[in-house]
Amino acid sequence: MPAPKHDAPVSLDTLKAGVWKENPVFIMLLGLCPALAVSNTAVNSLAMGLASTFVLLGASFLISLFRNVIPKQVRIASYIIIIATFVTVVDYTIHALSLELYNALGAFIQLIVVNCMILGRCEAYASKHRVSTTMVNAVGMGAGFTLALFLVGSIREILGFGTFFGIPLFGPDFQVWAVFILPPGGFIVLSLWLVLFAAIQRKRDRMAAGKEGAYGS
Amino acid sequence: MSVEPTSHTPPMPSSGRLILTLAIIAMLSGFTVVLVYQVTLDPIARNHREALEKAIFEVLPGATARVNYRLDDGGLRPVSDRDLDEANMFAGYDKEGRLVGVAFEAAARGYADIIRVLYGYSPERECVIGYTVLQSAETPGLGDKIETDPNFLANFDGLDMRLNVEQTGLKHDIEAVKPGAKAEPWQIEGIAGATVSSVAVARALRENANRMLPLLIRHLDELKKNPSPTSFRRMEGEAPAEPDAYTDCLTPCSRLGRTLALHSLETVVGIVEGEASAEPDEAKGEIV
Amino acid sequence: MKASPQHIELRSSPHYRAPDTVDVIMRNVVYALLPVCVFAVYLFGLSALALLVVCVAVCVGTEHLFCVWAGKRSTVGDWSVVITGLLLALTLPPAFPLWMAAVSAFFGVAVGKIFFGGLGYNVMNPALVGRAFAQAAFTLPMTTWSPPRAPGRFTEFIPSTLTRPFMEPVSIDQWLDRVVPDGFAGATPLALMKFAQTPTDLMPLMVGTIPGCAGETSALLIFICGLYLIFRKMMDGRITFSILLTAFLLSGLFYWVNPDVYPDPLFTLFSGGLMLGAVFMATDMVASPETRLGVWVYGILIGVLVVIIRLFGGLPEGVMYAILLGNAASPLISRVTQPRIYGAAGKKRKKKENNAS
Repeated sequence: MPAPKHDAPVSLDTLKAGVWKENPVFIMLLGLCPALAVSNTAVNSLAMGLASTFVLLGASFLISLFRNVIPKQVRIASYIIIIATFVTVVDYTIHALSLELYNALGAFIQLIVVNCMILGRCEAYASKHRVSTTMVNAVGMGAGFTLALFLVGSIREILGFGTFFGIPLFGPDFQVWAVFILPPGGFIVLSLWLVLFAAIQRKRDRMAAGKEGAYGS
Repeated sequence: MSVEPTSHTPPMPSSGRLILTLAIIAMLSGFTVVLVYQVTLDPIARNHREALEKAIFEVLPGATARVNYRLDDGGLRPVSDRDLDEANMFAGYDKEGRLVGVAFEAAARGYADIIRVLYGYSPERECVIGYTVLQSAETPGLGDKIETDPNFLANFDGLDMRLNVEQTGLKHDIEAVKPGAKAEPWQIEGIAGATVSSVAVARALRENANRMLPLLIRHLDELKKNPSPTSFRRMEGEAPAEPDAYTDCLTPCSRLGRTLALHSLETVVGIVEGEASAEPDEAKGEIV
Repeated sequence: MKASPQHIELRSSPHYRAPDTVDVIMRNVVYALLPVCVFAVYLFGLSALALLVVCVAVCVGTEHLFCVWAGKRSTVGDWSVVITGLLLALTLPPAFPLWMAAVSAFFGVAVGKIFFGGLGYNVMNPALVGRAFAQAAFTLPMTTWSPPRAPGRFTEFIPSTLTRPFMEPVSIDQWLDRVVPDGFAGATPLALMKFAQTPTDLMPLMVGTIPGCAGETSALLIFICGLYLIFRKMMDGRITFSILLTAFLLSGLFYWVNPDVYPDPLFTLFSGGLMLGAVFMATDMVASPETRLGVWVYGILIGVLVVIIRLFGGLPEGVMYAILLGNAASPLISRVTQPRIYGAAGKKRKKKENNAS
């Protein structure tokens, strides 16, 4: 099966795409389940973000490497096995590193396998691009995902626990905003970030349009 | 073997090739997983043991060694770390080998989910000497104070658990009372705004103590003198000869299988149900 | 297309009466709320007054700020946001720390109203959105009650009112010992009923000399204020009536089945926030259904939910969640209960015709 040969050379944009323009959580709204479920502290969200990034990198690498070998008919099954393998590796590793972290992340480590960001990147990008481009893009996507989780998790931890990375910010009498630790808080904070990102995007679009004179007065 | 002719799709690779590709990928995957499993086996087992010992030694101040036991109507028998899930009692011994107390795991339904607590009981003083929460999903800022509130934790230092004359149950049932209303040593002073959680902890202790303490009293002498050497382990003692296989550390194949199976929602539900049914016996006993 | 200059058209009767504009209606709702506010201040003193001022100020300020940001004309002049502020303050406990009230007010107006597009687009009553947020975020202060008519309430604040921002509320135990030396149960009649099976006399319930949220205590006063609005045709009395009737009948049914366990229907009617909710909250013009039948369905839904949550839920009070759920369901209710257009074929007939063809 001939692979498409339209690869553009690796550029900074390949990396930056995932962080900003195609941010998996804030722009493409992918992988929302972990972004909502385990983002109640900065540490948890960083751990989840890094674990997902690792899985994404590993799976993207292998899939991109074997993109011409894997027949189209079994590609999804192959991708899932590859992703599941990396998820299992992460699962064991976190379990071995810290029981506390493992308990905090709970079933959501195993659920990385159903993170649509990962399968989506594998199917949409890794299976069609060179290894080098794929890896750069995957790093960007992983960074974007981690950043998004971190932003949600930080707000939730600061308001929900009054701490940041476990360090108390407000002293012992801090009033806990319980709602931010509970699931509704995930939705509220994520939506607020989405509002902010949409507003920035809109402003940029408007400025760009204004420069081109499309909205000439 | 002939593949059914499909005119409208591009030529299909032979099914042999498809199977071969999948087989190779699966084999490599299996190899990787087994490798990682082998490497992480010891650290994971150590983590679990340390977490358990930390909890046990926390509720049994002064203890430096533990023995796992299964205590039920059939009698008392030691349980090795290998079958830790069967244990429902942990005896703690100090440096001289004297029995400090025993730790029981109690559970009851709280506001959000089952609350599991570990409490240390001193047969000598006939009271609670330590308490820690193993698992709770209580509301942050309210119900989760059962883990942190110093006033609430103070309840468990010397919480009265004397048996009645017939030795069939507690002389005075443990009960939760309003904040500031504690008058008797067997009462637990609740947390303002977290009545349900406080009552749940009291109920967990009450029901567990009523069932376990009458059994314990029959085997007390046995416990006092004879720590079973098979499972006796000093805290800073030598590492176990063979790695302890915990039931939680599933075999590599089954864990990969579980991860794979997450793709079907039914299986996810199945796992959740499986976990729910894997609740400790106490949870079931509580309903009765 | 040229605008004609000063084209005056004369018509004979019957004439249309100019409909009330939004700000006239809203201003009248504010007038109707004022007696309730005055009574709240009389019962709970300076703290209630501060709560009202802070909630209204933050609500108005939030709306104004967002309008300025969006580059729109400020919409605070339509008075609706003042009502939001007043209602929020009236549904908070009098001892609620002011900083938490400000946060809730901001959240209610910003997320409950502005994000949806301002007045006319809000799915739910913004005051209740703010209160629901307060309930979820600050559960303990939301269930800390203070005694009505405490001595010295006009000269000093309840200590927790002036809690520093982001801090846990100051303990009011010492203050309580001072103002009510013979002990204060610290619970509303509803909580007493639910957790201690202690009923409260009907008279204090109706007059309002009981602990509770700042403005919800006097059922009678709220009802009279509501009558004024219904009389001026500025409020949908059917919603209020259907909620109260449903709650009365349903709780009456339970009481009839087992009077030992369930409170009597009059208690249900006059306790907690049911009256305030039924009169001033559920009747929010934007968040309630438009159709004639829909209004009744909406009222009955809320009434049923209130009784179910109160009797079988974990919380003693359920008016807020009942109304929010009713709000959420109201677009659907409106849609399902569209009246048949005169002359158009009904559903049944249409079906028949379709089958015949």
